[in-house]
Amino acid sequence: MKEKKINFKKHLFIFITALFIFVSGFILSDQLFQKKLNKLMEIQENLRIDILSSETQFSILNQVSCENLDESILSQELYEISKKLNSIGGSLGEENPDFLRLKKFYSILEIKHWLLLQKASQDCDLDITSIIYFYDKKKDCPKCSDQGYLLSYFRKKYPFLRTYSFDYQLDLAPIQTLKSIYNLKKELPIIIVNNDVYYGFKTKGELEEIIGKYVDLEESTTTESGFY
Amino acid sequence: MTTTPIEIIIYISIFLGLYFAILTLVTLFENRKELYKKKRKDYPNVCLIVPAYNEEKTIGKTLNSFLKLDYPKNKLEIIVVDDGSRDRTFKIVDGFRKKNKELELKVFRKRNEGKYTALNLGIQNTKAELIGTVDADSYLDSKAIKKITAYFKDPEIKAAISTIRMDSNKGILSAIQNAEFLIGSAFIKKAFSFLGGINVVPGPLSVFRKEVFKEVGLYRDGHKTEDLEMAFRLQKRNFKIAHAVDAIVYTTPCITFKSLFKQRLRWRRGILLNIKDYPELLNPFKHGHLALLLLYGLFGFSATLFISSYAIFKIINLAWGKFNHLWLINFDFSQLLADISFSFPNIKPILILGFFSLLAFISYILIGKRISFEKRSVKKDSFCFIIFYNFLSAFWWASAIYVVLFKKDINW
Repeated sequence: MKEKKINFKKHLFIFITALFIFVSGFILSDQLFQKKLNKLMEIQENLRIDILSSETQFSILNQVSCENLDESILSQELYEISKKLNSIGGSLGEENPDFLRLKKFYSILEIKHWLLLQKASQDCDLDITSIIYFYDKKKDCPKCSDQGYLLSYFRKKYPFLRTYSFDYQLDLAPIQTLKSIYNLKKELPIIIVNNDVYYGFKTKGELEEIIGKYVDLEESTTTESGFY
Repeated sequence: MTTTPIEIIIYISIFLGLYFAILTLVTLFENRKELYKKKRKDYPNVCLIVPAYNEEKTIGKTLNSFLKLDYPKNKLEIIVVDDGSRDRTFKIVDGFRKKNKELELKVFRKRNEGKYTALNLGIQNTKAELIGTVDADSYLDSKAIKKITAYFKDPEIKAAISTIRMDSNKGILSAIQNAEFLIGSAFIKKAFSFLGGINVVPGPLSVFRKEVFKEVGLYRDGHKTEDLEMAFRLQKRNFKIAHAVDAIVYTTPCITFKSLFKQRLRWRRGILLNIKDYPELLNPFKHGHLALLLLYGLFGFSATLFISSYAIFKIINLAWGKFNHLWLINFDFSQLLADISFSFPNIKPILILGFFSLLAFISYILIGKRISFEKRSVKKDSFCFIIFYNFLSAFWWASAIYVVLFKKDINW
């Protein structure tokens, strides 16, 4: 039988073709991933410029700027970056140096945005509620993922809330400073609402009660972020 | 990028799947001018044996298809063996015989001893040059016998198999089976025939030279898969088996999950037990491509089992995570829409290579459709096959392994 016997030349050709297609799958994936990474870096760069220009605008115009300054776009951009960053983390791995570098940069942007908001709040006498959230890896803080989800839910339900999340273990000087300012213990998850610190997982009801101390949630749901 | 051990196993499966796809596609391309055989001028005597057990619902259609065959009636003999039916099968066949005297039709009635004994009784009672088997739940295309006998012009051909097509592709299960047979019975079997790797002579329609049964013996039980056992016996003797891709036989699809499960469990159990009985067929140095294809099949079912289990685990995990999140927000669906945002998934190589595999499956179905002249639309069939088949197949394999390991007997 001519074909029952194995034709090694034919199989070598098939092996090389299969290998070529297989490797091209990896190359294509790598190129698409690099594109995504570059896009993220571009967004981060734009955001840095946006924050700097807002700071500058705010400094120049001082009181007059209270009517013109709109940080909600920056806040939305920060949120978009956090989503992309999570996705990158899933691909590169949480310990990947490139990912950690991006995460540090993102954390710095968050702190800068928070500082800008604090200043705007003081200078323009605005009633702003900001939440700082510290989390850790799943194995060290199994409830952190659920807490993060709940805070995202609150962010969507109450658009005036500004939430900033930080990796408790991230080796970054500004984060260490934040930790020492609030004199934080390692009892994660940690939530700081308008300078008051809350330790441990908080359910939806508990979070509503906590935030309710600073703002009328029922009224705020209907008035979309109308403070600027 | 991080790659988990599970992903490595999936990559190996995908690579071997790609290898198999290229092997079959290249083989078909190389032999594209030999896909069909020209019809022969002479008409050999053909006997079609129909074993029947409680087939009152379908056998009428089978018998009627014999009347419409484009083959000289004086060269055709039909033998129906009623294997102890307890329904009206015998009455229907006998009534048909009396009404259609132009057909040479013999009916035998015996006590129920199994399909292979009914086939053997038919084989022992004919002198025809070519002997075909036809299942009583199947019916032949009018050209089927003309097409399949053409392959016997080559004296080396000892047996020829047909292309099985589903009678209907309505409903999800029928659609899945139709796509499955376009791949398995049309595309893959044609490629396998060029590689000398046909591993089954299916019951719906297979034709043999009479002397084959003298040389290798009659049918055996073959763990209730006599068509698989016979093919293995022919392959052991290096007999050449052709695939008449243009000889079409229609069969009734299983329309309930239970009947499909029973059938597939029997087939898969048969594969495992017959391979155990004929381990020498797995030796590539002796049986070349047949051994490679059988080994690939064994790997394929392990991979199906593994990947499907992993996918089910992932789906359950994801569903549980989503449920848990909803529970955390007290099922506040008002914010659910806000939660839905499209972010492009990470393009891991596994996703791209998985896409290549999907293209391979679609090409199998389309080529199978083309070479077997299927005219019905197969869009729904392909969709249902791609979504559900791996999971069903994994379930059938897992059940077959269970019944083999624990030596459980099964019914037809």
